[in-house]
Amino acid sequence: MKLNHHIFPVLIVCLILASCQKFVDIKKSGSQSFIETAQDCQLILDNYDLFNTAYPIDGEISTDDYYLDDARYNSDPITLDDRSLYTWRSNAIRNEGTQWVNSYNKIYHTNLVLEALEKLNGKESPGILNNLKGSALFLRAYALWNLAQLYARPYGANAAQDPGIPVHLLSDINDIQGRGTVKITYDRIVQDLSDAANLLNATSSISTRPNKAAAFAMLARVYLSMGNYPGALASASSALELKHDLIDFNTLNKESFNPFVKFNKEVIFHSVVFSQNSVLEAGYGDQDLALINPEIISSYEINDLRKSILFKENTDVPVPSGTYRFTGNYESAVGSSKLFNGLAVDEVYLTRAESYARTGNADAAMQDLNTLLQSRWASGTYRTKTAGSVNDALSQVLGERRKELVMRGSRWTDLRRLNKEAQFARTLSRVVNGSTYTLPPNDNRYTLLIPQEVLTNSALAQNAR
Amino acid sequence: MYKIYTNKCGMPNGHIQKILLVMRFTTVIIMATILQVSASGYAQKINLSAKNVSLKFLFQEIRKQSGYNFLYADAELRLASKVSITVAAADVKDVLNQVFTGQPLTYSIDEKTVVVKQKERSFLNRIQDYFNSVNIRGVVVNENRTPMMGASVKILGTKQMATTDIDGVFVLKGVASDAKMSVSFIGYRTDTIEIKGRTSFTIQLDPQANLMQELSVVSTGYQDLPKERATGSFEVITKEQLQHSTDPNLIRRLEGITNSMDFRNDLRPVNSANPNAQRSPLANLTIRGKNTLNESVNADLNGNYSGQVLVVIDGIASPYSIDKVNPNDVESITILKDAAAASIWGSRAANGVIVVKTKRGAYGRPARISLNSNFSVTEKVDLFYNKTMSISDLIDAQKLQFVNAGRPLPEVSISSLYGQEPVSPVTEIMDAWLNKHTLTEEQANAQIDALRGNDIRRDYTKYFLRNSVSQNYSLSVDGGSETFNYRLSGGYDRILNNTRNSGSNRLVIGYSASLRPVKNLEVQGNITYNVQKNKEQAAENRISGATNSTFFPYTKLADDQGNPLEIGKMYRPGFVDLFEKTYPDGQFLSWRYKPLEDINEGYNDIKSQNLNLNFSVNYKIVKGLSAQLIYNYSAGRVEDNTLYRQNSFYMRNLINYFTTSPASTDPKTGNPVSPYVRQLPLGGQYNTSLTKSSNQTLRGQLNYDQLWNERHQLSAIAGVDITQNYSIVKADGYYGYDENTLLSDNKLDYKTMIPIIFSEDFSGYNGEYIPNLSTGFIDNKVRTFSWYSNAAYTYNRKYTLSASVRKDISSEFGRGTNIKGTPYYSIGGSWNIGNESFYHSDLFPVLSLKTTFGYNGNVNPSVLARPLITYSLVNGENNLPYAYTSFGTGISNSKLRPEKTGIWNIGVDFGLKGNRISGSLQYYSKKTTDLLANGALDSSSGYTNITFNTGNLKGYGVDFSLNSLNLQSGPFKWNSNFLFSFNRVKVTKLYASSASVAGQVVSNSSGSYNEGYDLSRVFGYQWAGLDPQTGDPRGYLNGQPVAISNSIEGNTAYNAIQNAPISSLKYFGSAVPVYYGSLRNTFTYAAFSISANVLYKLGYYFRRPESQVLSYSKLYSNIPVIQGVEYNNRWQRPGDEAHTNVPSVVYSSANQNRDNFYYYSSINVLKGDHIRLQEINFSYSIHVRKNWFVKNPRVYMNMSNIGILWKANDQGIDPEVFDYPNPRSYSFGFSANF
Repeated sequence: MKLNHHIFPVLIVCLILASCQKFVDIKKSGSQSFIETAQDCQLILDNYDLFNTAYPIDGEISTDDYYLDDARYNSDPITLDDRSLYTWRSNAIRNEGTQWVNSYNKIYHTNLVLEALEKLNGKESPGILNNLKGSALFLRAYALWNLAQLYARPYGANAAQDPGIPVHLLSDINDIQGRGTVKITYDRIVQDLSDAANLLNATSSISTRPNKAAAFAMLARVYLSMGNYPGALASASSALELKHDLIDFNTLNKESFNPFVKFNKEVIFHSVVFSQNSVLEAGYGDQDLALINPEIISSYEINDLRKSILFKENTDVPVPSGTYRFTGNYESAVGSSKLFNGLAVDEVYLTRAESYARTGNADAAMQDLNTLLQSRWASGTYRTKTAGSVNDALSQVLGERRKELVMRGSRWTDLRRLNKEAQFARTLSRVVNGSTYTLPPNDNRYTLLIPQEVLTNSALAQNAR
Repeated sequence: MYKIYTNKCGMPNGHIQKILLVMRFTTVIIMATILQVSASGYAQKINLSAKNVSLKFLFQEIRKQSGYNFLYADAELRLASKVSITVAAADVKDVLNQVFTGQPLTYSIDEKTVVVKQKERSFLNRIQDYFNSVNIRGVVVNENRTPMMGASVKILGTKQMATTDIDGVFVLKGVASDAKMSVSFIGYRTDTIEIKGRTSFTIQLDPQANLMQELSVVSTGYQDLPKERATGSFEVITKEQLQHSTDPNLIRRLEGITNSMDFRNDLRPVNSANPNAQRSPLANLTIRGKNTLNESVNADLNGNYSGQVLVVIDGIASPYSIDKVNPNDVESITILKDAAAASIWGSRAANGVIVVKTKRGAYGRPARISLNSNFSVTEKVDLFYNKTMSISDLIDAQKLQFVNAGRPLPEVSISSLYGQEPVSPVTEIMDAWLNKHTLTEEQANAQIDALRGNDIRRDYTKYFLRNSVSQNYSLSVDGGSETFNYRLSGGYDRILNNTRNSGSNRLVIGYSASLRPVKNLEVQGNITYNVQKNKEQAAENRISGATNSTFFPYTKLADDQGNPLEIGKMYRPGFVDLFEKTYPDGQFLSWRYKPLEDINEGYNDIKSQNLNLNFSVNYKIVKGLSAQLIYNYSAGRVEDNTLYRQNSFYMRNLINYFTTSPASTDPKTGNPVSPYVRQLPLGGQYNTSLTKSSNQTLRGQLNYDQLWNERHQLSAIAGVDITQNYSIVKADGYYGYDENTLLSDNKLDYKTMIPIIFSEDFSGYNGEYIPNLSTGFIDNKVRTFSWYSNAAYTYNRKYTLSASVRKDISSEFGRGTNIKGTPYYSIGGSWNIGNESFYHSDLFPVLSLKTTFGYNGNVNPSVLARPLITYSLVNGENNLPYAYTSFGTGISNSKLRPEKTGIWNIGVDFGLKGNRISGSLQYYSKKTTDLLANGALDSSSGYTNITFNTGNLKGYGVDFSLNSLNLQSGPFKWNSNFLFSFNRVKVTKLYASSASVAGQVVSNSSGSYNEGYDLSRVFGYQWAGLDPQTGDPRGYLNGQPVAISNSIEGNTAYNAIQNAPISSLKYFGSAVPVYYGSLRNTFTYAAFSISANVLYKLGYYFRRPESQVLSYSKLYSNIPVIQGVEYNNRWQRPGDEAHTNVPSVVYSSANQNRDNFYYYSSINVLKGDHIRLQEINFSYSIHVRKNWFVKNPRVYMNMSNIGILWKANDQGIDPEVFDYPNPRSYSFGFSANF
């Protein structure tokens, strides 16, 4: 009896507290939810603006694919930060950390998805979960690799000592990571991509979603940047097994400023660079914007359609005639700096060809090269190319790589890795307002300075100069 | 009770039992406390000799001698007059007969008990009384001889009583001509008056100084407390005080009459075409400084802002927006400032609470009608307030820029818009002359010179702005019987805003009633309906009053006759002519644009309605304990409709845009398409959105209030509160809308990119999707469950201890906080020194001391420990549905914890002798721990800055108020009210890794706070003067002057200065006023009264408004922004640096480093101290004959925003004005009762 006196109020309080907890456990809004289902994960990964745009552009800005004439260089849209970067000043630095933060924001979201998927194990079909997990791993590696091309030294003998970039595997903002090493960074990229290749579906409904071919193609790109040619060869082969469509350039409109449709059949994974930047804007022929390096223009043979498809001659005053602008954007954006830097079949062919050559198989290398070039030349004009030696094959492959992958976000990485070989190393130079600026091979400036804003708010060490 | 009673008296049971039985049928409880029974020894004969003694004394004597007990009520005995008697050995009955002769009392003897009672009057007596009785009428006035309403008048010894009406008048009929009446009013000394046959009285009551404090009742929203017993910091604003202004917005009326409230006037918009004009003044209000930081200025769907002051209306937390309350319906406002006052509101109280009580009827008050009406005119805004460079100089600057930049414009094209962004008309003329050669130099100069005389501000003022006019009417009826009271009120406001086609009206109807159907039960009901209509220009047709790519500083809106003129919009000049020449056959709509006509071609109408129902039942269970059940339901409905007529430029352009032309191509194939196909129907566009909200609150509360032995008083409440706020927005839009036939055409293909009229748009695309008119739903639901309790114990009216506790569980918190979160609590004490027996200060008869401590909370629903995702239908790029997260919807933060504000408050209330001076002084200290604020973050987390627990704050300050009667001489009187607040908020600890470099701190970017500094503070770059050679601004880098030129070197120097430690900056101090308040002087002469209010804000700094600091990148942009007058003072040649700090001219529209450095340098930071004359009020109470049907007619006039009296800076800048000052307004009003 006495006990009851105490128990009843306690029971009532418990009951009320439990039911009021239930009372307040509601969705705040119909259009919002915590990440709770596989569908939620899929919807996050389908966020085009997040995962398919805004990859770092500063690498491309630093390449020799293009140049600016003095008027353009001195014009207002080219910011002073851009000018420093363009001329490879040793103190060239971005004040704002936008490109860095954008990349880590992608990584943050992949981690959110991976954490949510962890909790869904056993609750949804493993097939769906695996594909989602593979997608998140692919996107994490993709963002990390793109950033590493700017701010970590090229992968080489010192990879285990050179500072890498932070590898975040948790979404929690309290999980602070240091720079680690280049090896740690690349190991994670390779691991994520290998896992993704196992988990992903063979195909996807649209090239904004990753699939198995994309994972292998990316793995090939990563291995190539690491100088791991057998790895690149195997991955590229796996990718081409799944997807090997090439566009016949004869079917394209040579006159069009915009010859490629978006998500065309060569595209394995679609992504574009950060577009809030004017340096790489191609324009419409009436403005002297990013002008294509004349060396590239003059390298095409007569029947090579790429010269007329990928470029247009600038015609209107006041643009100097004889200059060319880029019109080969797979993003299908005319005149814009929103350049396609995703994965496409042509690149994979070139990667495999190079890997064959690097591993001593000149014939196979030339066979891949011919397959690609056949689709690039005017119908009936192409004569099969052969190579006298492995080295000849390699030179030819690299020559065609230069002609094929212009303004595709791959030149900076190619410069960084090829500089290691005396045979392919080259000194870049630009002439601006009468002064000449040069960038010799393997210079420290091939690793850009981490943006000031990033350093200010973290304990990360700046790159060497 | 019965047992104790008898034991004590030791009386034989039988007798007393009988008596008690009788009593029980009357008023057992009341009688028991006041009855006195005497008993003692035994004797027969009485000997007495006494002069002028009370009956009570005599009874005691008789009891002693006779053994008779007396039973009487003290109150009855007071009616008796004193008696002189001399008897020797008299019989008890004889003695008693003698004693009772001439007394209004009689007696009966039951056994040995004398029962005293009031005389039953005989018929004869009554007739006698009738002839002896009179009808009396009187007026009760206060010390100022103003009538006092609600004073109670009682005829002593009878049940006759009356309450004075609004004119202080009472009437009593049939009063004995020899009776006495007592007149009482709370806070005043009770007066007793002998009637002596008179029939007319004027009774003046004197204030009872030490009761003045008791007069005010503070309301926490949950309970009403006498201020004397409240330990916390409350400020009460009465309905009389609210009359100082005629602003239809209640919140704005609080300015100048409340302490420690800072209204950020600089952010208050003044032009109704500015979208910010819709923002509630609540958004910028702080009480005792900022406590929580939330940069979001957008309300949620229920109109609540986090980090804001909580508004409680009639006990319910923000049932609807305070902007909807008619100020004439407000009885009082209580502002809760410290923990003891506010912590009862728990998790939303940290920024203070405003409790609004609306007027109600009163029991036993005759019906009365009140009318109030006023009319205000506000001057046009002064667009010329900011002194600028001349238009002619601006034009010259544009010319120079064109020549220097040397960039020819492309030919105007009607098919390819890429690179065809509109530029200024001057640039076009220059290009036509220098590059296209279509104009000669003379023609070009003539055209340019023609522009020099224009000034768009003049045209805006003349053709777009107008005086704002507002009319307010309010009428109410209230009254009540003993068991029922009611109030019915209606208010109507009509406002013409200060721009054309803009205005609003508001109707508020309220009815409240209270009923006491049976004893101990009170039922109350209240229903309020308000409807507000706002009419504005449609967003796209609107002229904002600013200059932009359509309106240049030299644009002319109308010709000299006032006929609207055409200007170019969206496309370059020449586009329309070329277009009409190319396609003359009328396949397209006109592309011509006349802004003054276009504002009529559409509208934005917002109609918001709110119905609030409130029911409460209050039942007294036993004396002191009552139970209360309250249910409040508030239904809101906001319709927001926007129409663009087909004839609006917006609509014509949209239709044309989706009409194919010979230049159009298929976006997929790039092939030409057939021209002149209209893909968007003719007609207008109608967008409509409907927001429906329903807020419900159910509350059960127990109230306990008991006084024992006149010494111990306990009042306590405890309750639970359940609320649910739900709102849903439904949006819809229609193309091809015809407002007459209501036809529309939405059968359009929104999912396919279709050809547009241009081969390339501004971004180079040849196709576009038809813009999806916003359709769909957004909803928001919040549920909160709270329990709370509050208790205060007062001993002997001297010492009070209080405590409160509250716990909230909310769907907004996330589960962790709900389970782990601790309740908010407060404790407090007060000591009423004035009531101490040892205290005999003649100087300060009223003195009390209070102190409290406790915790308040602030909920920031957007800060969640894990992210929410928002679903989105489709992304146009890949046609897939997707979801996204944003800062606003949480981020993965395992260490997120709720912020808490601990407040300590100590205060003293004092009153000088005769109440000539009274006031209060309070000191408070607040500590906010785990402050949720936007802080910088390791960028590798994926965010540069988010809202998380960034640090701790300490705020402290003083509130001082002083009311004085300076002079009183006959009908003349001079009163002053002085308010003073001191407030400082500092960052004591920072967890964020942030704000370590000068650039972040100086511009306050990305949530920069620093330990040891004010929360809102001003820094400036050290200024090293202008470069003597170039006139570039210079700063210091490593102690050396360095020029911030427009070059890579300058960029490097600027970046280095930006990234220097903050010690490199010059620190000024607080950016918000540290000392602020007001001084109101009121002069009264008989029925005239005039008052003036002066506001002051001191001890802070501000950066000169951007509009006045020269920025070359803005001057030389394609869309030139007219610069401040200091342009005339710029560095032009070496030597100028000696007398100017204004940098030399550079031509750049993109690089803002140089301008930014100059803007953020120390020379542009000025002292913000200023004093302004805010308002002058004049009022006259018209004297009317007493029997007139109009009572208390009063006319009043009000003039506000009069002007600044003094400012500390010598540059003539009003620190609170960023674009133009609030224009003066004048109102006239009338109020009366019937």
